[in-house]
Amino acid sequence: MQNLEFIKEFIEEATVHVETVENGLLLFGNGTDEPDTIHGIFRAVHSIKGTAGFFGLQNIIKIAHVMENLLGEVRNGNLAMTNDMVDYLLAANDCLKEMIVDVENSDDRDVSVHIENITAILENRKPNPSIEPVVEFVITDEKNQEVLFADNEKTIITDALKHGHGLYKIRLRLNENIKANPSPVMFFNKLSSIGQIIDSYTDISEVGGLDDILNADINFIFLFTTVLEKTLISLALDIPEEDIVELDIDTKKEDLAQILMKDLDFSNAVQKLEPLSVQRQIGESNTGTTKDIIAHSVAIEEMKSVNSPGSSMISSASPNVDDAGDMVKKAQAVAVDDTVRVHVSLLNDLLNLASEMVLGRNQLLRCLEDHRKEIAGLNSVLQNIDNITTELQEKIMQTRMQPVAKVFNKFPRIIRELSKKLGKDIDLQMEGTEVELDKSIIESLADPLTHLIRNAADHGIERPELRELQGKSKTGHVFLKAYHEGGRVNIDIIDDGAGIKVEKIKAKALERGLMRASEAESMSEREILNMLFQPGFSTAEQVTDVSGRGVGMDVVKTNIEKLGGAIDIMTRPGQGTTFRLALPLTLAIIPSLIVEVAGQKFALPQVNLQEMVRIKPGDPNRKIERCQGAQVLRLRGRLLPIIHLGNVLGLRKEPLDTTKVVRVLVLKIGTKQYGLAVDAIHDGEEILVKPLPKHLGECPCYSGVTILGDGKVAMILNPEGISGKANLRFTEEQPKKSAEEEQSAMESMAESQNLLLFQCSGTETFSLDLSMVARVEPIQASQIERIGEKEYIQFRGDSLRVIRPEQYLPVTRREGQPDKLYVIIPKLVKYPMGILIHRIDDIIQTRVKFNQENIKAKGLVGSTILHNRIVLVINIYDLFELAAPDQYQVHERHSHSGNRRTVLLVEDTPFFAKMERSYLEWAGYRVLYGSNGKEAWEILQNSSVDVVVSDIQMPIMDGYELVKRIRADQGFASLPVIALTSMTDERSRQLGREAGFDFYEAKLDKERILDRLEEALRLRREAG
Amino acid sequence: MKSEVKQAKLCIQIEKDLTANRVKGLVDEAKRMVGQIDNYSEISLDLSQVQHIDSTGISFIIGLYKTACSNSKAFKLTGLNEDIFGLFRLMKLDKILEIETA
Repeated sequence: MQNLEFIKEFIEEATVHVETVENGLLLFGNGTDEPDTIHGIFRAVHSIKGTAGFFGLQNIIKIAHVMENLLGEVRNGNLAMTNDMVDYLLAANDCLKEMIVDVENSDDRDVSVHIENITAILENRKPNPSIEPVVEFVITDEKNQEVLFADNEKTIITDALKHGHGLYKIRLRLNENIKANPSPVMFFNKLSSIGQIIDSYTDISEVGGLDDILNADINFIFLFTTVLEKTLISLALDIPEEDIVELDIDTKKEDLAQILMKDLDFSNAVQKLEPLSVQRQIGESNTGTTKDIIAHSVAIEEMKSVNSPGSSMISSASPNVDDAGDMVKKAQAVAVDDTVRVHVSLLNDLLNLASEMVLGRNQLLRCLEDHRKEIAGLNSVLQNIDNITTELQEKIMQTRMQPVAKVFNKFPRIIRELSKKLGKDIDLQMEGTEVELDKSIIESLADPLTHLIRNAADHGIERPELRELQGKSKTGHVFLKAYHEGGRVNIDIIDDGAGIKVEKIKAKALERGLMRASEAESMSEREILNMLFQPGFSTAEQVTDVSGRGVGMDVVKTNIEKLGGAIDIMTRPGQGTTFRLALPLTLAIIPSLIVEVAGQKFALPQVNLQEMVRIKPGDPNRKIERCQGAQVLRLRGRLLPIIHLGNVLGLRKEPLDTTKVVRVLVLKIGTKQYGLAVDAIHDGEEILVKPLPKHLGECPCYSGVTILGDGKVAMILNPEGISGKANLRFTEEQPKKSAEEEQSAMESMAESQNLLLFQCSGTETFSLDLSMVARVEPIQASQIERIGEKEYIQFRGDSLRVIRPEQYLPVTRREGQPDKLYVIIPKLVKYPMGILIHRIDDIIQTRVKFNQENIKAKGLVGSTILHNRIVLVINIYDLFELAAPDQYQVHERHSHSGNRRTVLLVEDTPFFAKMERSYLEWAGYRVLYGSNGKEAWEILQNSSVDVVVSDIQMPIMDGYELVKRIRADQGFASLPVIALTSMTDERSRQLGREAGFDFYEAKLDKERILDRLEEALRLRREAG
Repeated sequence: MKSEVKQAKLCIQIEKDLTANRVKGLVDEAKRMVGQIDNYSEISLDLSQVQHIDSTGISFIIGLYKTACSNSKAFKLTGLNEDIFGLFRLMKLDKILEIETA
């Protein structure tokens, strides 16, 4: 089988699609005929077919193909969706599902039944209108229907029909849904005040006995008719909208029975899956008195018989009810899902338990510490428990982690809207969307981040005219970046706008009376910037030049600090501003250092701890001095403000005694540093953070409370709050230092790269972007074998050609080689070759300023200066081309055009998008990406694009519409547009050409696509 | 909660409302009473003192009923006020539980 990773991706994607199809079909079963539903199903099936085609999965393609045909007819209005069709399609979809789970053996299955069934429908296509269900409501006197619709119920429904009421199926979980209402009696009173219950079913199977009462719930499913809309019902009854299903009022009575039955069957099936409850059921039915189960099965029997007369007419063509049931069961057995949906409250409980477990472990370890040696074997048991607890806790933490993409994803939209509203050109770039944070942090992050992003767009970025005047690009850039740093996650919001003028803030703060003039003189730039976070600032109305940046900033800061994070501003007038949020990965358990003051123990979060210093009196290198009336610590040439924890907390009165040994913790908050003196330093400990009790209010010095291993309660210190309470003044020396840091930080944020630095036989230092490197392997010189002119090594059971850069690049070369060498295995190249190097120097993250002029050679991107050395940056594609010209010919052809062409790739399937993108980028194109026509159209408005490559089938706006829109616009008259699709039959081609595509190509035919691109660009040049 | 066994009938009377905070206390007591299987063949639950019932209260009755079933005992509800009876009828619980009306 081909690349395993892609197969996995296919399975994941297809599983989602199959679900979409199933849900969509079920909606049809419930009588919906929303056009969106059919489009959705069609697209999903189409996508499965497309991707399966790439892997040559014949059976999946076949089924998907007939399904697509049938759905296509429905979509085009040539056929109306009937219940039978839904059944067949569901059966086929189930088969698809099974095959997708077991892709490898999918081609061994017999799928002819499904294909024949669906083809049969297609061939007997019936005229459209006669199938439409007629709005009639005949109640016959058949006995089994009486069960469900007593006389008054018939009237209810007929009445409801007459008055245009809606018919709903509502599913309630008594404990869960009625909790919000005062009592069930009142709830049902409310229910009858807004509508009428037509029929109901109470499922009590979850309650097994007295033991389950508090955990189990009762399901109450009922058909309900009311004049209210779905949303209003949800509001009126205070139940989630998902639990309400709107039914077609035309639904015939048999269907009503079925609708209720569906839920019965479901609850039944769930029970069967659960061995414990099976036993319970057997136990109960043995007694023979369990009426609910009897009633239950009777009901099902009755409903089946309701169902059968209608369906028996066409029973020759319809799948047997039992078979379908079997199939579902089989699917359930085979389709063991990789993921399970779990309620957040359960995860929270787990987390709490795990946290308690950690505490328990800590206590256990402490208690048994002294007995480790006395009791044989205790040590290993303790270690085991220790490890397992840690691992357990980590895993549970992981379940709560979510990518920041969840928050980031809404920003492109916000920026787009803002740029329209403000008349500015703003480009938002995001990086590190995959970085994960605890769910609760992610959730609380949305508001502060939105605020900062808005601020950046609104106040940070200047108007386009102004930008041009300043020699900046018209388009303003906002850069949003998340990354890990030292056990925390930083999120940077960077704009290249006007920056913040410190003087203005100072003036404003003075005017507002937030500080005194004398203070202002001695305040550092950082402190002044921090005035922005003062509540007083926030109430200020829009300040012209400072541009109201303080609005709401205090709220942002408070929110971030509540999360245990910190916020920092770095700004350079005229160049831009960076807001940096430093956030903890999680809130629940943190490593901490236990310190003692005046006999009390406190926990200090390790994240803030830079170092511990022990100051002996008379030590010239570390001493406590006085500066501007405050004590400072001189440490390695820096001056740090220093304060004793006891003084801050009011546990002691006397100032630091410098004639004795002083223990100082150097703490870092954002870029600020200060020393905190304590009486004693104990152990490091993992502590469980519990929120501060209410009566302690908002004590700034504490961030929470915890229970230590010895069972004692300890307050968790908040370094930020302590520095605030102690009114620490950060000296000028420090900001100067941090200004440098700041600058380098700002630069690194702007465009940082991870570079691998290495040397070959000569003296030059080379570098290669780490994103191009798959791995670096050490090898022995003896492992290199010569075959003709070329050298090879054995790599993972295969031969891999290795090249020496110095043979192809104009650099120094020395004969002889060390015994031990390294091979860089690159990625993102089609014909990988190893790069043989002599020495790895370093891996650094830096912002590279390439000089492309001074040192020019094929195979080199350029040069740069790192650590005061010239470093040559290798262009791996060029290098490979030099080494193996024949294989890389295609590439040469494309990259030759010199300036990189911009391709707008429009594709909704992530898999294809990834593949195509890698082709295009490999061939030297710059790729912009849109996931549907609408996005693409918006990109076209804002960016210059040389050629568009678009899929046809996409949500929101498909390829046809996109190309029509492009062709209708004068500005894009000569823009070549190439269709890339899996629909390659002649008719589709014809349609594509009519819509305005220049070329119409099959997906993933790389060579051809690249040819076409070149041709399209050439035609454009000639035309232009 | 009061209980007595009369002619192989375990009569349980709930004394106040049957709501979540009370149910928690009742469960263990009920288990103890029901646990002496040999003493009775029928459980009769008297709700005449119950003014209000909530969803946990309903779960309690169902739980008691299920326990009775699994011990092969009959189960009967008596003394329901109008509201509660209406509720049970609406939920079709009257089809499952035997309810004695006054």
